[in-house]
Amino acid sequence: MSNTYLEPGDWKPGEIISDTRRGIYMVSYTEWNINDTRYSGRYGILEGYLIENGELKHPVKGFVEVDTPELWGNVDAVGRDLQLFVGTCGKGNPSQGIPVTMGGPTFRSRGLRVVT
Amino acid sequence: MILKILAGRVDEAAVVKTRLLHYMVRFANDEVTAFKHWAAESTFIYVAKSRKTAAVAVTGPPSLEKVEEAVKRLATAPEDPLYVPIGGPSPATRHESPEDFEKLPDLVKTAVDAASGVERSAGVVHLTHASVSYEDTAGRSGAYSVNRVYMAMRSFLGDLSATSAAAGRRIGDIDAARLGRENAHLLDLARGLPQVRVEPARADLLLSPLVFAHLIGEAAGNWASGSEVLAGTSRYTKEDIGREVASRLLTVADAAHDPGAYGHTPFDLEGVPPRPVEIYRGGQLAGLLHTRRTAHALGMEPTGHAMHHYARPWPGHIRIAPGDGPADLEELLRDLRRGYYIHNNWYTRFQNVKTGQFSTVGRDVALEVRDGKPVAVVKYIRIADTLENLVNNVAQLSREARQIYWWDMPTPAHSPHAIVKNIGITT
Repeated sequence: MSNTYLEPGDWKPGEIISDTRRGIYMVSYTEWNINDTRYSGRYGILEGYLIENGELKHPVKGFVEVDTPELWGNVDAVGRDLQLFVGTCGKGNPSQGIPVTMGGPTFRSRGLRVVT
Repeated sequence: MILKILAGRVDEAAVVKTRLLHYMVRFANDEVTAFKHWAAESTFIYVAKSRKTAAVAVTGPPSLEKVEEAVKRLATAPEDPLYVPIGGPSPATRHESPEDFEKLPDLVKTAVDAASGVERSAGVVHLTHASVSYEDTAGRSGAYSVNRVYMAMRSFLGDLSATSAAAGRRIGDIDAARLGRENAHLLDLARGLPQVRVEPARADLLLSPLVFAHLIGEAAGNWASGSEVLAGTSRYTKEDIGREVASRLLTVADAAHDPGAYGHTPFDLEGVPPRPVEIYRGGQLAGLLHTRRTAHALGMEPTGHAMHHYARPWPGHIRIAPGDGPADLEELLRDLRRGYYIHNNWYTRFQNVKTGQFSTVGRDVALEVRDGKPVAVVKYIRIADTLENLVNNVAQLSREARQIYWWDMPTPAHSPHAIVKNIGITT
């Protein structure tokens, strides 16, 4: 596990939302899983809101299912709000964990598949 | 010593000391790359006073500070609604000597030699000699030591891979050659097939013992646990016992009492020997797993399943009864007719434990099956459904069950292959 994160951009987070006609603002995710080549991921929406015409609407639940190249290749807006959090990277055989940081700025990725 | 320190300061106390001696052989590119051993000690201390309870778990030998911490917690703890006095028969004492760890590398050579036609193999052989002692202020005491060994091997052919695993109580229980043969067989079936992706759909699945036991283990742990029933987070209630809640083909029992099972545990954290507990019997919910606390709260009998935590029962080893289906993989594919064979999985995650909504990621080769034959290798398949559909839609079980464990399984198991109908898949 490397401590990689997205380089901050120029957008204010609110600008990304107001610039989005229809989408989901995913504040935090949960219960993600991914295959062992780290290619095909699924991320549950822990806290998320519908965006319509640049405004936040009601909370939504569901899952983003996306291939890693699509997730990062479709990024067109990156916020300046870099935040890092304390986390643990776990491994098996035998089970173990090491402290890492995780996080990054708010970003927008276009055209991802969201399922319920 | 700890009980003496606590004497007079608490009404009751129990101390469980565990020493795990690990021996691990790792191998890659068909050769042993590491052979190491290490010891891990832990101590669990339970105290009770005036129906208040507290517990601390300590890595390594307990310090006086940790013992004091347990007592201090009592001062601010509320009365424990699940309190039950320490009691019951004294646990037995039985020891077995450690297996000969020098034999572990032989398993690697045997498995690698049997994996003919693959490019390379990697994996692990892990032997644990667990020594556990229990004593409490009611005068109960006991001690045991057991061996547990498992082997997991992943073989590669180009960008394809296959994993097999085996588990047992003795090194001699591990049929290493079988691991090699199974990997070679699956990779041979997949060799040369086109690689495809799937669209989200519902499909019939053939699940290997690794996958089926993994998911049934999750159902057993999350739904048959007395603490989850009490908390309302289980799919089941006590009143569901005797009701049909799963496929009639499904019979699942906890086998922690069985000396032949990898997960054999002579007694649990409360000093109670595990009973054989049927969880599903012919599709009916047959029983729940309990600690003394959860059993008392639900008006049932303790089953000795304070395996990892005194507050949450968990299976020690599940045994899924085989059916009358074929044992051979290609015959099972013929019986599946149309669907997908999922050979291995990891990253099982729940979106809702009570409904059992989960997803798990396929690992290694997955096969698309048409007219009973593999026609393609599926990349990036994921099962995304509910455990309820899984246990209800079991349509066939093979007549042979394997004893298996590897690090990503929630519980070691004996499990057959299973055909499960109409299950959600995504990519």
